[in-house]
Amino acid sequence: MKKLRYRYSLRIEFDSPITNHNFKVRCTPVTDERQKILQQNIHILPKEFLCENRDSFGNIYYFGRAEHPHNLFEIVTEGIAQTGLAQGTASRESYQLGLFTRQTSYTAPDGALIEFYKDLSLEKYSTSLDKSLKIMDALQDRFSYVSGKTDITTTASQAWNMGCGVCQDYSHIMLSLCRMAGIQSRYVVGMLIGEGLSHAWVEVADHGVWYGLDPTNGIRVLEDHIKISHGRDYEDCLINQGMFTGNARQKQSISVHVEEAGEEK
Amino acid sequence: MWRMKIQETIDLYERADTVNELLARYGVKFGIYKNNTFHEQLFPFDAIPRVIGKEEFDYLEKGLKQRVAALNLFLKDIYNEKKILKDKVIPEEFIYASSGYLAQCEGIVPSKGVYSHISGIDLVYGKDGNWYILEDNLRVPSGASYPMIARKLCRRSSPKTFQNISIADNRNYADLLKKTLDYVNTGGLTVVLTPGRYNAAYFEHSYLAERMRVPLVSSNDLIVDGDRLYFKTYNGKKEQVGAVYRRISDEYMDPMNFNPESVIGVPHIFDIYRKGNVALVNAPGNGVADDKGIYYFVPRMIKYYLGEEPVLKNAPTYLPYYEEDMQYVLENFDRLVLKDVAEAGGYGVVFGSSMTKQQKADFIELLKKEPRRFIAQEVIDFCDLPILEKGEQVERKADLRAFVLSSEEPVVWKSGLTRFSRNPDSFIVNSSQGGGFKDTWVLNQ
Repeated sequence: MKKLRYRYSLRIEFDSPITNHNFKVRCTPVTDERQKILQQNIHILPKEFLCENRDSFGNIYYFGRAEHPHNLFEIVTEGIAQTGLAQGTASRESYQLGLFTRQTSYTAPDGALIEFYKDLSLEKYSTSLDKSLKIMDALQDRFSYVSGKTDITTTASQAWNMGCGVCQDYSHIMLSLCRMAGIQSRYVVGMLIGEGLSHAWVEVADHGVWYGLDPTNGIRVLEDHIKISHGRDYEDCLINQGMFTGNARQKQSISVHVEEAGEEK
Repeated sequence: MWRMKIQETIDLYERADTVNELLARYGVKFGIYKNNTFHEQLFPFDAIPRVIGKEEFDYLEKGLKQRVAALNLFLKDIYNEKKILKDKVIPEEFIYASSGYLAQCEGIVPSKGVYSHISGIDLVYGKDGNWYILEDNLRVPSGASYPMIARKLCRRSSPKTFQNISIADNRNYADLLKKTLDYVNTGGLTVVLTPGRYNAAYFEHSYLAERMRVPLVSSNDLIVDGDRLYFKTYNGKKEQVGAVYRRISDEYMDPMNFNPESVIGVPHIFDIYRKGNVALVNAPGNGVADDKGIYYFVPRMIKYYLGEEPVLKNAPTYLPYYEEDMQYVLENFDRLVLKDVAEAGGYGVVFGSSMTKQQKADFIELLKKEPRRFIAQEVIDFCDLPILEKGEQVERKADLRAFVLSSEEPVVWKSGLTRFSRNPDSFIVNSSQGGGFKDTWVLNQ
């Protein structure tokens, strides 16, 4: 069990003022069996109205609009989470999770990835969790972490053919392989202890429990991760969506900071 | 099936031209896109009504209410508990692969639990004396306005026809519709939301709004503020809206939740619908239940949810997804009609008999590659109806779209849109394919 202090911030600067800005942000951790949110503050600027809601996956999101001209859009979420309270979280019944065995446009495999899947010989492993751990190990051996080569539109197959990518790519490839094996699996966005950007990993369902696996680091998700949202792929977990009137170039910067609450200076 | 004695209605037929002139004057038109340009054409009206006797209508009514009740239960189940998947009545693949299934609708129960408020069920009357269901339309079924206005103009042109024959009045559709919308209204105005005058059914949008005496609005007239929806009135005030009869497809309804390119949607309308603060009619996500692949399973749904035998039959349908059915389809290809499950409006429908050898080979290859994408049906030999063409009576294929309105109790409108093919060799009656329409009379006795 750990107590983690977190701060997530997203800033979008526009080089000329924009108006009629509709937005939707999904950057708030939710209490579940594995993590408990002890305190949390959310600042979103500017806002003329702001509402909290839950999406169809149960994630918290905020939607709103800023009508008046503005050059800056900023979201900051900060709080304290207790993590590692359980190995995983309760899932719905297996027959209710069919959606999570279907490939999406991000995860649909091509020939090379299908070949790799066949060579894994997953028949030897009996449970979904064991199969998934084997997939994660194999992925660690064959795929390397390099940033800047892929972007948010890169699919699992594209990244696989490049042989390298970032957490989003690791997660999409892992989902593609799990779904080929019929394992119910979903994409997760969250934060990892340390400093940097937001993180992505996967969860796999096994006998009524969703287990978190972080293929980028080759580890189980226990104490060092704070989960924000889950869905079928990257697109269901978008942190920020917006549309506005104006012809402006935008510059986006994200910073995430997570540390043990005791270590505070 | 009823055939009117010609003497009883001869006065009406003699005035058919007058009725068509009035329809043109009132702008009863249908828009179609051809080669990317918009054409508006008159929707040709034929004065000889389809007549349905009381007993026959009672039978249809029973079957239609049953079918729509099962479809509503299916929608609630599939977006929530999914019992029907647990019991393996429908393979889950048919749900999640359907383009009408929307993951965004998971967990939502709309106001009063109604999903399909207005259902347009297409039927044909077979030469074997049976009615067959061809298609369920649970998204934005159009067409009720045409028999409404035709009836009004016919009564005006030939009042004595309607004095002599006791026909159920169909001009109450607007009242039934208003009642259906008010039933689910979460507080505030009821409005009709149109994509605009370049929509195929714009006449209908404006006519229904006018008959219901509710505002006809476009997306610019609506705004989400806080967690409510408002109508911006001409003097700058905002009035809360509680029910939207939206004639915009799911995909274009809200650029913040669906297609971000949409310029005819209302940003965040789906977010407040999720919160239960507005009724969207029909409910988003209904497409999963009127998918042509799901159609195959509707009789099973009726048994599953209601524990009843279906009153109305489906046309005999085969799913190439099942090995056995694929075999049958390949062996009987030339006498079947094949339909692409993702298409509507008479598009994506091909007859095995009308294909060249090459087309057939190509089609079979596609069918084997994507079996889930198609259904095959026996070509129902359905009854022709008489129509007037240049003063002569000729026989043409026709279907019937019945309208079922679901509020506290489901109601089957005592009329319907009868569409006919103007081409003597065609079975396709869709208005987008150039067909015409008739009024549908339901007799009071």
